[in-house]
Amino acid sequence: MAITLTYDTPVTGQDRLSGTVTFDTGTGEFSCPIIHNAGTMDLPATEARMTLHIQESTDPETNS
Amino acid sequence: MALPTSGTITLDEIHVEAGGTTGTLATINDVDIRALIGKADGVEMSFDEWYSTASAQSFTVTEGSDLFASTSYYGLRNGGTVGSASPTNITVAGNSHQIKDSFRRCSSSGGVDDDTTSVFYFGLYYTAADDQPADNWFTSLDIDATGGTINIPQSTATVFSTGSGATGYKEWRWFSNDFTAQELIDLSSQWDGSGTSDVTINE
Repeated sequence: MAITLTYDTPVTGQDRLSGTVTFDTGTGEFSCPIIHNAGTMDLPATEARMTLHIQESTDPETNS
Repeated sequence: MALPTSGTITLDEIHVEAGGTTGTLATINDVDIRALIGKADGVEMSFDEWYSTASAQSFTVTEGSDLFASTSYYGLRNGGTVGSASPTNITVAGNSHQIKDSFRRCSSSGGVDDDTTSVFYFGLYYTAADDQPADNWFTSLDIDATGGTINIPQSTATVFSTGSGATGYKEWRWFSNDFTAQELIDLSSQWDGSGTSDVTINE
């Protein structure tokens, strides 16, 4: 399932990422803590975590 | 949200904190308003006694199980397609929302769960009028776990919302790495599809 997150680039010190999401069967909004690695924002990891949540929420029976 | 710690405080603010609707009739002696500060009927009270008070709503989940080839769910799903909640609704900003989800989810293989992958979901449906709870309308949840409760703060939750009206919903999720190893053990043995488990919402 294609999931696209849209959000403003976070600024230094920002602790949560929030924005909108589009997926195969709808749209929505999201908000999640920003994951940090070695003191820097890890946006790919943050996106992956949020995407997993949406995937499991919208298609819970087929996700492993 | 807790009431202010100082300064002006209104009866309407107290009423809303107690689960009432803003702008509607209330008195300082109403049972729900007194309950915030543990006062008996008709005793003397002053408004500064409500500083920093916060309501806490609770519900009890009679657990069900929803098992798939690679995923297991234990608790309440989709407002009662699996398991049930009592009460079925909670009040947010004066609006009654049906509890959609309160479950533990984990990966499984060959019928064997991997409890270390456990996550916890809490979800609410919107109202028919599309009233939507704020992401941060509560501060934390206390969820039953073997040996006690686990406190999970709202600030660490991943929040997802979609849809509108009575079928729209918002859910808060805590991933496995939001729990300690011991918490995952205690959470998993409590939320196992049997018996009842309590959830308290701290506002």
